Amino acid sequence: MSRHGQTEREIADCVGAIYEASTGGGDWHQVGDRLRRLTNARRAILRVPDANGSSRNLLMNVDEGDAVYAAYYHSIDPYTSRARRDFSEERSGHLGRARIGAEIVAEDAFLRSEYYADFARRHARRHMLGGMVGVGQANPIGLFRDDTSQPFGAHDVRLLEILLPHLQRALELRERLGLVAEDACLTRAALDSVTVGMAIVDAGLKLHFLNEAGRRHLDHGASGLGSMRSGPYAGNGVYLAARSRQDAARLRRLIAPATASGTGGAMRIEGRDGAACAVLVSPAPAGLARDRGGHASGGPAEGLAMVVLQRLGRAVAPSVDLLCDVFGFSRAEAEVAAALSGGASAEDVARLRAVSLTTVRSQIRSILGKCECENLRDLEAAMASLSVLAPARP
Amino acid sequence: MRDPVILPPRQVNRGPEAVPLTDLRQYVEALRRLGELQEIDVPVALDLEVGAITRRCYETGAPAPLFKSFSDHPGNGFRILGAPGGTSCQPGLRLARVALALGLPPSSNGLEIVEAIADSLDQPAIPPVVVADAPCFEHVTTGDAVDLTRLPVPLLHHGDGGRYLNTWGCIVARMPDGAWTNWSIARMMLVDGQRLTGIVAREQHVGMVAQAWAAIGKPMPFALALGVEPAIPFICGMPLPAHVDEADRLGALLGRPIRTVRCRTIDLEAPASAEILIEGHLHLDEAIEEGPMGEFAGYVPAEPPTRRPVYHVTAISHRTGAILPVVVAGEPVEENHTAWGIPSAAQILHDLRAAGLAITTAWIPLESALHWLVVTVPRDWRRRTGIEDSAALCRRIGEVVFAGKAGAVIPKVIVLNDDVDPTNVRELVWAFATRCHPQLGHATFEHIPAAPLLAYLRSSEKVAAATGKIVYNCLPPDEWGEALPIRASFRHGYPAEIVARVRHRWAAYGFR
Repeated sequence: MSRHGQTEREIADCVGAIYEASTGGGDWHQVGDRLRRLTNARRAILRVPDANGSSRNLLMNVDEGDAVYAAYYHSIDPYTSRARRDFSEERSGHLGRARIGAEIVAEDAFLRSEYYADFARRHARRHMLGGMVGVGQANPIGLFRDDTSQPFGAHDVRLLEILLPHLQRALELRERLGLVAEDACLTRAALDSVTVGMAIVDAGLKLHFLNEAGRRHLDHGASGLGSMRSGPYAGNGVYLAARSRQDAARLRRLIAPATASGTGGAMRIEGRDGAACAVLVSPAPAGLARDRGGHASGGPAEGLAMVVLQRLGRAVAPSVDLLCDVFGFSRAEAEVAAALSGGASAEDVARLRAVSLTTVRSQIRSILGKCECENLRDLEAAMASLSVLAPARP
Repeated sequence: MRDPVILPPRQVNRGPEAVPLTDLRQYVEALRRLGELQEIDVPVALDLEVGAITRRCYETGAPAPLFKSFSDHPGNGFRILGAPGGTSCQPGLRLARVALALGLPPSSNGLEIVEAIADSLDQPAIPPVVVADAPCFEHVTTGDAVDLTRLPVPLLHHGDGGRYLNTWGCIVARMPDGAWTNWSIARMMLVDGQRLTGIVAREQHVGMVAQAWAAIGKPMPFALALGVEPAIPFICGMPLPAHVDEADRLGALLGRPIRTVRCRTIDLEAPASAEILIEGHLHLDEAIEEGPMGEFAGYVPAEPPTRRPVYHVTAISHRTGAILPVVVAGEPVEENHTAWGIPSAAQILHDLRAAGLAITTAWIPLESALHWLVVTVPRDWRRRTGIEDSAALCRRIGEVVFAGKAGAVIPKVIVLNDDVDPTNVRELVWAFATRCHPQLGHATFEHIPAAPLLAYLRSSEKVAAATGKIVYNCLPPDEWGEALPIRASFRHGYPAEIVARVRHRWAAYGFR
């Protein structure tokens, strides 16, 4: 126990709480509680920008004083305006340094200020111990005592200076993890929007990623493929599984070599309803393997394979709007093209649209010209490609 | 005869509690320190009372009884140690006697012991060393002075056909050309003061050696070492391949050479640690009625006695106050299940791995009386073995197991994923009951060599020494791939943090 009452253990616990909070494993309010206990402060404030462009206190819940401060007194806070000026002029000289209030703003000036008279005095902010941390911009951290307490001293300054580097690293970590999470979120959203099923599996067929189309495919009761939660422990993961032994064995034979940088391959799996599905297996992209290697603790990353699932034989007609946008079709041409790619003949289209066959043939010529196709077979292929690329409907 | 070679002992980390126990008396003291020995000072009868007390010890997990005097065989200072390799009811010490005997920490569990034995099979052999003298030569009688009835030979079961001198001793036999010295364990019944009889099947290694002697028209010299250092019965019970010297393998397991001593009347070396050493010749051309005797399957056979070969004894040597270890075979768990079953599981594990199969462990459940073998495999066994379907894996396992000597005993193999602990009988019964389809995926084998003492054999099978065997496929359906069933248990069915929280707060809930 130090002579000021904090044990090294308490300081270490506070450091631990800071990193737990930054990685999402803990609560920033617990950090605030520990900081206040360590410094005998009434309030702890670490302001960080939020998504709305304003700021919020990470360390404590908002109280009446915060609301009043945010509404007006922030604009006349002598500490903040001075600190921002100092920070912008000499960033490196301030980062990691702790100061008591009187070092930032002369005591008599502070006591004469509107800020003190109307706000700080009434909301337990007579004495201040502060510092700066931040990633893109300076974020003030302040610990406050009220009128009845002793001012902060040199011991408190040293204590905060022990903690400031950890707070700085924690904020950097928090931002980095936030970016990673955002990146993953965007990737998932993009993959969820395509109409083909995509899965990333390991050699044991454990699913490491599955997009929305893949999930729909595997959840379909009649599909020849499914997903299966595995034990023996709850949370041991979900596996890609074929409904038949033979398909399961073929799938394993395709996937295992692909995870070992082999070539992969393709197979066809039929469901109980007779619908067929094409399964394309390939080694996972090299970048993905590198990313996973980064997670591993020294050992080589487990090999992964990408599995693409696409139902065969289904109508592949992209939306009329899409066809208009991409090929410059008129609406009538787009409707004709969609019908043709769905398997209808020119006669069928003429009958369905109640127009003459000559009209339809004329529209077909126009359609082939606009999409630079030689014949209806080419058109059908172009429609199929577009169908795959078109965003999935929510 | 091959010259013994002394190799430097292998350094084996056997834990801080490991102390080499090089004779039975050291073992007895170690048992005493562990609370695993009960000295019995009151006289007890060799007729059934010793057997009944020992059986009760097995069945309650009580300490091993050390009998010091006998009401129906008074006055010559011999002692009997019952249940020398039985199991204990002390928490965490169930296999303490087995582990101690093998130089392992007494808290070792079954799978750790199996691994230690299996590992030793890949270590270089350490042949025994011959020493000049041994404590058993304190008292030596030879020729006409030999009298086996001076020894305290108990009648073990009600219904046994005679008194059995050997239930835990080491039978030493050597091929006529000296190329192979076999150590084995088999029951031997007292016939009279100078003769013993016992099972000597042609398929047994001792039977193979005896046949070799018979082929040149000579009886087989044998030594019976009773009360040997505690590890020896375990290697005698281990189904090593033919032509492998048990003493060499035990040296590899213990990391030191076993001490042997030259016999007085025959050209053999026997374990120097023996409390009692019997020498003589086995005559295959002479037969006398033997048995029945209560055996490892847990039954006293109803069949009449069988005519078996005769051992003629030429010398008896013993220490003062010699201790005769006694096994009272029967319902599990007794030494057949520990000293035969555990080394058998280790040998099978080694054989399966040597065959390229991905095996987590092999275990002969002690309660199965050597009738079940459990083999567990990791979830990725397909990738590790190159075998695609579970039925083919089971067949391959059966081919390997039943091709070995250990497989001659084991009739039923259960193949499970390694989330199941095969030493936990409660878990094993649940897994076998729920994961084994009654019809699908099993591998059956016809006419496989079988130990005649298997309980359920029909008479024709006993005569043929062969029966049908099976490998039960308890693996998930092949279409599941590597997915396993999710277990609805406290340990498996909840997130780790909930499990930890409940464990941590157990007393706070009010449980004691």
